[in-house]
Amino acid sequence: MKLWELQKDQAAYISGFIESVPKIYFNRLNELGFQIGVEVVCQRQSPFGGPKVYQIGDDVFSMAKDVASCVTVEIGE
Amino acid sequence: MGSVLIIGKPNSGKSLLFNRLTGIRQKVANFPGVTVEVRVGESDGEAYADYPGVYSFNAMTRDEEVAIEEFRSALKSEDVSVVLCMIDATRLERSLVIGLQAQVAAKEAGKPIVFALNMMDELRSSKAEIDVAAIEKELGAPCAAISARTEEGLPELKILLKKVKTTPKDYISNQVTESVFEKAKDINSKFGPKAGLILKNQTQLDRFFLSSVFGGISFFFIMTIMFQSIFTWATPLMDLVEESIGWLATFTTGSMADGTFKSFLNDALFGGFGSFLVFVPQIFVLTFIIGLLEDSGYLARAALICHRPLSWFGLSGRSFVPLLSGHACSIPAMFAARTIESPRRRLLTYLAIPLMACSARLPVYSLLVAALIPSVSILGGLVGLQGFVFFLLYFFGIFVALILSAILSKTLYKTKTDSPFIIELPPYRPPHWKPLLLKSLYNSKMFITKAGGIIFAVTVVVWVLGYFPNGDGELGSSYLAQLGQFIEPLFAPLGLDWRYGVAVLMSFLAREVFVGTLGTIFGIENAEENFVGLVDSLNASGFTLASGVALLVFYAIALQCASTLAMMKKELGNWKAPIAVFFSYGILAYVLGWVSYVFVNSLN
Ligand SMILES: Nc1nc2c(ncn2[C@@H]2O[C@H](COP(=O)(O)OP(=O)(O)OP(=O)(O)O)[C@@H](O)[C@H]2O)c(=O)[nH]1
Ligand SMILES: [Mg+2]
Repeated sequence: MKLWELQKDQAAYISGFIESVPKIYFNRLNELGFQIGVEVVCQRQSPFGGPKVYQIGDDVFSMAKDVASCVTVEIGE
Repeated sequence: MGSVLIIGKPNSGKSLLFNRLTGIRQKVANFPGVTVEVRVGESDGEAYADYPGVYSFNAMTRDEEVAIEEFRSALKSEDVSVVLCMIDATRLERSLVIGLQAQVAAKEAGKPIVFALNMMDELRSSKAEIDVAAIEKELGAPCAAISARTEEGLPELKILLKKVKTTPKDYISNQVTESVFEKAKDINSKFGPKAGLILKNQTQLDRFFLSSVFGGISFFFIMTIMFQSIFTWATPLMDLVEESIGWLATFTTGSMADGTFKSFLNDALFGGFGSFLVFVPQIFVLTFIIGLLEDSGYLARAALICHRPLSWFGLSGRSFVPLLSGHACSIPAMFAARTIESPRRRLLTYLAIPLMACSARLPVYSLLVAALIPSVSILGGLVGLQGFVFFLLYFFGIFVALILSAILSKTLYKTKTDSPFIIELPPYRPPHWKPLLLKSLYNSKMFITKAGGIIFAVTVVVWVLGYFPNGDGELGSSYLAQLGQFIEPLFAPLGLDWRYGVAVLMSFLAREVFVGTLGTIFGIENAEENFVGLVDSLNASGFTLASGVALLVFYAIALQCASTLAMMKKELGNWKAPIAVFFSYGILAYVLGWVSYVFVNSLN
């Protein structure tokens, strides 16, 4: 499933990226720590499809739908 | 001796450390991506360079690329002796990614690297710990535990830098690794703070500030308080300044014989220049409040909340901070807009910024509002009517900007390619009172010195033209009046006579000049009286509500600022765009001003 589909307070592991991920998105996600195998928690959703808030480790990022839809995740190990 | 390059992750405290080391006032704010240009400073013969923060050497925007290129070429230079890498100890893993990459680059260039583990005070207050000695060993490079805020560890850091500079060869790392991500993760999990401790506070506050319901309400509330307080908090101070000037005018000229010199002092100096000084407290309050927001960490949340609504108008959440700082001044706002990754959205933001009610508009707005709007309370005494109209003026600027931006993004700039919206949410921090007060005082001083010279010159010219050839009180047959007749037809459709026309034309030099010019003109006219507040003169001049509204609308839109145009030219690389913007905003301002004049008139 996509990272964007993760519900509030749900945790998951990053399993990859969609094939059509733009390089610029991929690079930024990578340097911010969104890498395969990393645990990510969806902290908050905003109304009207606004950016969601994700936590990885001690970092918290806010991300819009177009970016979060490029990351695929799996719930449970 | 060679200089120290300060680099590291965004929002890790590089600029604050740079300021502490050099005594310079580089902008510091609790928001990632504040510094956008390399800044060099010196102290005690040591040179330091503050770099824009980056997450890795993989540049994404043009500005990041420039910064990284500059860093790489600086490394090769003989003048650079040490790399100082800032590590935010509360965000250890992320900080180490860029830190380890910098270590590789430094080694390749044969330069030593030193790590500063910053935010030790914050680590302590969230009861977390890191093992500095172990991290130093893992990195194979000297580490200093510091807090740029409390200044702990800074003397030791300076000594360490001196030592490294004397024998640089001893400090070139030989423990570098190419697998930076793995190593950063490894160090963090072994010697970093225990997971969960750091974010506890932040998560709790976000639960409120980013909640679906209260998030929006608190955003609106914070913005309302902010704009209201510029008017309400500053009023007592403004009254004080006005009274002091009146007192000073009476004191100096009271016993003087009537004549040219007395008129000059009263009308040009106290009436013209003095009327402008009355508004300095507003600049102070404005800087103070924006500073509070910048320190708090709320700006990143506001950017998040605004992303969706702003994107309906072709902008992005990244545009929020530039637009907010545009309420102080367009120049820093345009610098802030550089962090917008998408070129299209950046351009639209540049076009929107000059429509924000900047501090140069404040004197014009306050004067007109004070003259037009009765000082009464509405909503059961909760809100002053004048403050409310002020709020509407701010809102009007934003509204026009959004509409224009929406039209332009649908017509001129249709390209779809866009950069991602990802933004780090920094921790909430208590404000830094002393630097905040100093910064607000400094900005007020800058406001006086920057606009002061030109305002003084204009008031003197206006006074000379208004006083001669007849001498006191005969404004109607002065040179100024003769010139004024020429431009009167242009302002007649707005119900304004030549006195206001002169003031509007002069304000193309700088908006604040409007107040000084009117002050001088009415000063000459009311020669019999001593110093009279400008608001009273305006009311006595037969100034109508319709004309006042027309003027407010005109000033809200017209781009009367040479520095903004020059900055736009610098950012966009040509004069064509700023000139086009200047004329189209000018025409739009005039037409909408006229429409509002006709509209308000039709209501009576
Ligand atoms: N508590 C605490 N806060 C700090 C410390 N150092 C910096 N800060 C705060 O961290 C925030 C960011 O500081 P800056 O100096 O602007 O960070 P920067 O690294 O220059 O950021 P960019 O220019 O965006 O790359 C500000 O709110 C500072 O007040 C510290 O040692 N302790
Ligand atoms: Mg900085």
